[in-house]
Amino acid sequence: MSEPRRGISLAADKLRKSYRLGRVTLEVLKGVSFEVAAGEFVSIMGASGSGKSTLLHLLGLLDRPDSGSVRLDGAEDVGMSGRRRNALRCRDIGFVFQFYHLLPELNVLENVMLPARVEHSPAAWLGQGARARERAQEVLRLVGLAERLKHRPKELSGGERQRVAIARALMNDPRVLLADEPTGNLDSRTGGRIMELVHECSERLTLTVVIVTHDASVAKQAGRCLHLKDGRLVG
Amino acid sequence: MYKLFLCLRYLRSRAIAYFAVVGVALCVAMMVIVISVMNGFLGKIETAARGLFGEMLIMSEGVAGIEDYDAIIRRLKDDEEFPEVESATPFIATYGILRVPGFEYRQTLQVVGIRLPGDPSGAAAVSDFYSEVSDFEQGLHFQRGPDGTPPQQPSFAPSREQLLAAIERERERIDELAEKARAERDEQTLIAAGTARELQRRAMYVLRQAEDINERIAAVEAHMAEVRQARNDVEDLEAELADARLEGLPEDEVQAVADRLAAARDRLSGAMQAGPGGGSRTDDVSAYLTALEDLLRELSARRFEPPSRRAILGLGIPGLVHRTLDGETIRKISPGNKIVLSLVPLGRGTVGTAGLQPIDVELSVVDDCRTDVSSIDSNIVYLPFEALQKLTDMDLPPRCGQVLVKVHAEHSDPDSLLALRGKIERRLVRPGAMVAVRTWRERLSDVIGPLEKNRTLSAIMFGIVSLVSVVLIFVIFYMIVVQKTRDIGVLKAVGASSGGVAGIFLAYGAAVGLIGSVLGTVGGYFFVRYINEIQDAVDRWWGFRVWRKEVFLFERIPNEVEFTTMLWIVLSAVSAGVIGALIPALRAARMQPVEALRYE
Repeated sequence: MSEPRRGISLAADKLRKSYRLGRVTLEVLKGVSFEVAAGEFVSIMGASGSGKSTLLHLLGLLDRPDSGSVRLDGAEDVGMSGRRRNALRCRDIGFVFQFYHLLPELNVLENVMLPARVEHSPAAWLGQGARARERAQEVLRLVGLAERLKHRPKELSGGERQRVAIARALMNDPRVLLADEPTGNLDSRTGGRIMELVHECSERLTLTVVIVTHDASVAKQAGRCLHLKDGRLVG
Repeated sequence: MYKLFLCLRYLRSRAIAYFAVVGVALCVAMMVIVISVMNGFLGKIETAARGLFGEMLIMSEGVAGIEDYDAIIRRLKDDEEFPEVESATPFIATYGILRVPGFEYRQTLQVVGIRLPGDPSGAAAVSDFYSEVSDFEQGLHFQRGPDGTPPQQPSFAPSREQLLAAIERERERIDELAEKARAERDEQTLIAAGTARELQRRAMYVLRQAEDINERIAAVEAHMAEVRQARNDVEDLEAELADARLEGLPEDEVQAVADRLAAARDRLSGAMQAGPGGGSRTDDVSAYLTALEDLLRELSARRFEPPSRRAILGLGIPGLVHRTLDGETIRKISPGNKIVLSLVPLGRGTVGTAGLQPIDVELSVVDDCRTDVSSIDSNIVYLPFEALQKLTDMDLPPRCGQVLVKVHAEHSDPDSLLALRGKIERRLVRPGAMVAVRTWRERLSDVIGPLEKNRTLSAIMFGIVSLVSVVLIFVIFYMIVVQKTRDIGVLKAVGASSGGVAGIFLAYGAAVGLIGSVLGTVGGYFFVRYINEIQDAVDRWWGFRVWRKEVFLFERIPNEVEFTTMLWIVLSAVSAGVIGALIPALRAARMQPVEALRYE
């Protein structure tokens, strides 16, 4: 494996976010601020509906806050162009979702290679395609699925699917890994293994990791644990 | 890169996409079929009209006809005055009743007079042939060469050897068809083949014996003249003798008349004894002459008429042809067979009701002609122009009904034809003359007008059909986008742009349009290519026939597909695919990644 890029710092500054549900406006985040150092493993814990996922989406540039800002390696997201946000999501941020979100039409290898396909233009793909395939096989070896390249998601167990999702998140050698309840859909044993894998990747690849969960046993595996309650950090 | 990759993958793995492809393919095939047949139909009418009557027509508006047609044709063919004109020919059209001697057969049809090379019936007819204006020779059958090439010089006077050889070939063909019909138990074809063979036998006899019969007719006619002369002599001398006796002439003078009468009676008797067929065994001169007239009639019935009494039949006159189950034609009438036409004179001398007496004329058939325009082929008989002119009292002074004009290809577009029409009207039509000039399109306006309206109607209908395919693709793609909402969220999470996501679905729509239209075009092409065979098969199995030649003028459904038409249809279908996918693609593009990921 080539030398991985080091993780970057991440910061949230007075983030506010609300949603309209019919006539009701629901304020989900009420001025959340915190910082994550480069290479740090942080968990954000909170009950269901506390705004964990919304916070993660804002950190990952999947959504825009009503006010406040997110800084990635010092660069503020406010005023950032759509193209730049796309590029950051593609190159620097890896996402892992609770429900894996693998594309059912693609096999394991193709799902993992998807971020590389998004990154490269058709012309560049001619030169990069083979390298991307090697990289995908490499990360699949890392997550222990080197033998299941041609399998479709429906042919895999929940744990295996989440491993594929982690491999996909690592495909473009990101500097931040954001995981939204990565064990939420798995039994405790499988969930434990997934967390081990996240840890291993975090250490081996020197990633900055932010994981949101409602499970205290998962949260405490992080180097630092933040608690979110009613849209505010409480400790 | 991911756009094309995901587009192809969705195409391969989404069953619903196949429905969209099938929908587009069916729409495209339908368009290819209808537009090809409709365009082919109009094209065929144009080709047939120009091939039959040239591009321009100078026509008499009454039955009086055009008098100075030869002068008109000479001026039309003058390169300096009318450089647009390639050729021109006089033409007469009237109606008649056709009968076939020996058969209970009557048929009303159009009788037209045309000039052909080698037609010796008119001294002036050395040029201005109908075959220069039309493609007439292409449709002739018995004057073709052994290898099927059309005759260079179509004629009412082909050689008897050529006709005999052609009948021989035709007989072999009919024998083969009869053999097949026997195996297939096709009674109708067997009966038609039997009639055809019998008439061929008679025709060959007539053609082989033509000289012999003509000699015998000449001999009988000469003999009848001799007998009539001798009888007249006898009657004159009998009257002279009676007068001599009444006047009380001297005995020796009376005796001299009596002697001359006896000699005349001997000559009459001798002539009657020496007559053709062994002579008379009776002294009744009237009965003898009646018998000779019968003989003459019998011989005439077997005579191959001179070129001025010949006819070319349209191939398709009901009752005279039989169509086998495989679409092969059995001609019952062959060259050498006789027909009788009853004609009504058109000339000025007979315009009063008292003069409209139909005349019967016996004609020998020399060929048949297929123009492929069913309404013409089933309803026409061609006669030599000058002969029909005489038969219809159009010869004193010589007149024709129409002058057909062929125009050089570079002047045959609609605007040039209209300009030429004006020029002809100004220069060749006397003011007040009952003569009209029409382009081929004006002449056929009653046929082309409704057809063009039909084509417009079809275009509207197919516009709606295309809209249906756009809606079909829209609905299917909308469903696909809804199903793929989470995928869209994932794609955006890994950095795909909104334009890129829209591109996936637009490419998907274009691919559905392209694949559907290629399949539809190929299917439509082969359907149109074999449309006649398909119709024949449907007719044979279920007795259902869509294309009836009586309705659609032509024997066969036009089955040519234009490359440019197909290209337009493919492009339209691809556009329909893209347009149908546009709104779902925009919806996908505008979707917020968070909303997409949360979609249940």
